[in-house]
Amino acid sequence: MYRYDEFDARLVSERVEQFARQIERRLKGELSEDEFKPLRLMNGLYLQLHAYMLRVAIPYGTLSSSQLHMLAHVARRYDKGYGHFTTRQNIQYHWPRLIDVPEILRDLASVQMHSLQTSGNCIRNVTADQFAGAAADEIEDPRILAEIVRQWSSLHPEFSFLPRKFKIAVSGTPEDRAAVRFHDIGIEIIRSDHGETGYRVFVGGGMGRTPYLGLCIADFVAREDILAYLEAILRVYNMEGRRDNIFKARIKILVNALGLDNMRARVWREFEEIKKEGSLNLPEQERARIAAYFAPPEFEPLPDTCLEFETACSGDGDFAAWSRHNLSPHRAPGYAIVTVSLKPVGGVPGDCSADQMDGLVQLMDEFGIAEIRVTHEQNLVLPHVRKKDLPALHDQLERLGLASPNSGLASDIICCPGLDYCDLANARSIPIAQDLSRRFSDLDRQEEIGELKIKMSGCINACGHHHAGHIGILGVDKKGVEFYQLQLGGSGAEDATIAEIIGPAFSKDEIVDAVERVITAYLRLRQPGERFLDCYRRLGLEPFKNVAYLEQLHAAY
Amino acid sequence: MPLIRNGSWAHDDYTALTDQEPLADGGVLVSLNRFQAEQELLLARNQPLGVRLSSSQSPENIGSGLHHLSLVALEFPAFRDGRAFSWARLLRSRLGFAGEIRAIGHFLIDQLAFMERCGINAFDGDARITPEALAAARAEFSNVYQPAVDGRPSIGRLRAQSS
Amino acid sequence: MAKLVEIITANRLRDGAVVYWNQDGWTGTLADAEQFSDKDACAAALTKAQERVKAGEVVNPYRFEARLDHTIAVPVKERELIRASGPSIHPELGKQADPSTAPRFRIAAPAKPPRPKQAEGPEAFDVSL
Ligand code: SF4
Repeated sequence: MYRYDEFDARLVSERVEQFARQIERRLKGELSEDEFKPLRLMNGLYLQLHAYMLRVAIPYGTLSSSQLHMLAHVARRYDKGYGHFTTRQNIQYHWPRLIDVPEILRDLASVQMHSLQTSGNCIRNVTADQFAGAAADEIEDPRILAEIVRQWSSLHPEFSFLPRKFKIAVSGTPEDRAAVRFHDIGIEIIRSDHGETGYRVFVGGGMGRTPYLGLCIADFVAREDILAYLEAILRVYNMEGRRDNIFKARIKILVNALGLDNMRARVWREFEEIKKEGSLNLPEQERARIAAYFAPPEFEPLPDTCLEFETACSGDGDFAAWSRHNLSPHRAPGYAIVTVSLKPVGGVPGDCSADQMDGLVQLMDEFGIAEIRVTHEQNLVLPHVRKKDLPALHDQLERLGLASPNSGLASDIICCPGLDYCDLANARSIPIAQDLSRRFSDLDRQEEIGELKIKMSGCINACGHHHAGHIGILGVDKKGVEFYQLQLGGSGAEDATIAEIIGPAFSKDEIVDAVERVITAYLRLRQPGERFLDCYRRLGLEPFKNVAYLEQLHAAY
Repeated sequence: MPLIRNGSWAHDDYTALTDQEPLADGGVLVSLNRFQAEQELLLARNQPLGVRLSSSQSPENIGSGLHHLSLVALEFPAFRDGRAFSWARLLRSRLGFAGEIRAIGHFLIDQLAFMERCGINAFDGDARITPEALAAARAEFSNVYQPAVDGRPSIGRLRAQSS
Repeated sequence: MAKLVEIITANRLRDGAVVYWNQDGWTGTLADAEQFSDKDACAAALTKAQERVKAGEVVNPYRFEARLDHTIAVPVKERELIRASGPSIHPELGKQADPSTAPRFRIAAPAKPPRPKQAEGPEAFDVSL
């Protein structure tokens, strides 16, 4: 993985000291809260319901074991012993004190971590496929570009006070695990007909109040041009994006208002000029320097079938179930990608205790796994595991409470913090997710249902990606009381779609039953092998809507 | 308001005029509207002339008159409104403006270094905006990742040179 | 109808903790908060509380409504119930975990516990296309 050189390291520590001075000015009264707020947000510091919240960047979701160990240390020393992994591949601490934040950031900087631009109206932490460098069908490791973009966007002099936040995601495979079409800019790494590697660029995707799928603004941008092209998009957005209405300030609204062709023409005009200046051209040498850090580890030459593994699969029931759901094919023979589920039955999706983090650190050291990834589905991934190590690794995960065999199943729920923590929330989301996960805890039942993505947010900001859920749930507030809107048919994958709202919101006592009725209806209506999403796409809203509101109907008579 | 130009306190040699006020002697700073309405008259005076842009006005609106100006003032109605960063860059790059670019309105010392990098070289802000604050802001970061109009070499360039 | 009162709250600047206005200062416990039954008195106190923002004590003071259950103020809105207690999913964390700051009411269970009965299987209702 990428390692800071002296320049990166100095910049991050200078940024920490700058923020420490900003905090000092705030405490002394030289900065008002109004002035301090955007500054602290640009460093990932929120003020939530109970306390401050610090969001630490995990660029493109990759962590070394020493970084994970530091995250555990921060959780213990400055917080309440746990952290929350988010859909942006970051980690959030929900209890830090403002006065401790400089120390926390210094600790993080000592392992090359920071909280730069994890919030605020700037270019946010860049996300990428969690299987990067391991996926079988990868064209190029997306983290190379993501790191290049991280550097270009860090403390950008022109784009630190944008109309609104700006999110960029990169995918290196045809299969999209990074939800590129739901980002302000989504980049898909492609290979041209002539075998040249370059980038397809989508613009104007996003969730929030008005969800849009990103549109393809450039079919092929050459490697050396990508920063100039991104700068051009950002400049058009900074100059022309709306600033009069926070709900209309994202680039998706601008793209929609201008029309794609118009937008493309404007971006092109800026691009040509930036390119002419030449200073943003990405030299191949620098690209190669960064790429070298992401070179895959030396894989042992192993046979692809591994006896110990096959035997364990047929033996122990728990291991077999776990290997059915939490393993993905690796590009190297004899290796597998392991998804470590942070969704135990009835647990808080994405939460991880300091002890679990340190347990993972030990396990990584023991099995020689150099890095761990955070997924936008709020799970962790061990990217390179020898198949023969899997049974022993599974044992240890089980001991840590991290072996739920539910990746991609009904209880693998994405869920934002909601009203239990979040100042912007309209309703709690975690208790509903916990309830759903208990309701569907039976593995046989989950396996019968098959792939199902339930995603839930506590307000329209959609941090829980409800628009992209096969089943999406959105918390709303009706006169101080929590209600839940049900949406169906969304997808954040390569077949991206936006979920449709089925009708009036459910009370907190009704929503879980309604979801269960929808799923039960699916089981009756599906054709053999048909996923929930495909069944929904074939049949449309109507049959599901009817059953969802059944109880209300009964109650009315 | 006291003015900082090129890093030190400076005398403001422009009188800022509303659209109604009669022209004063010496340099004047007028709105884009007034400049467009009275361009010939203003240019014929042969005195230092500046145009003030609101944050929604692109400097491209100034047109060919730009090269007769010695000052463009960019307004920050609130420090969160970052459009002027792009306007300054456009002025320095595409439009090739070499005169004074002055930030006016509401901005924070935390923005000064960014502003300079985008081509702003004069500041007319609140009491916290001093030459000392500017010097401190410049010193906060030893290096920068991005090329901008101030000619500071980016980290990428420094890496290329050192290897 | 239970009587409605108003309470002033804010977050403390240095650590973000939830605090409530009482006479001339802040308390971390809702039970110790001053209860205003008079709107004008509350507005006057809010002005005083707002001066503490400039002094760097707190951030963003505002008032909210609570119902009086005997002498115990129970916030009307879920948000304030949770601020007064702590995360509903972590009874071991926040004000609720410490007897000196815990509110004197309980947040209603967030949602129904899992149903033991298996009544509504696929057969319980008819799905027709
Ligand atoms: S979706 Fe809303 S409630 Fe959930 S974390 Fe985001 S802002 Fe908070």
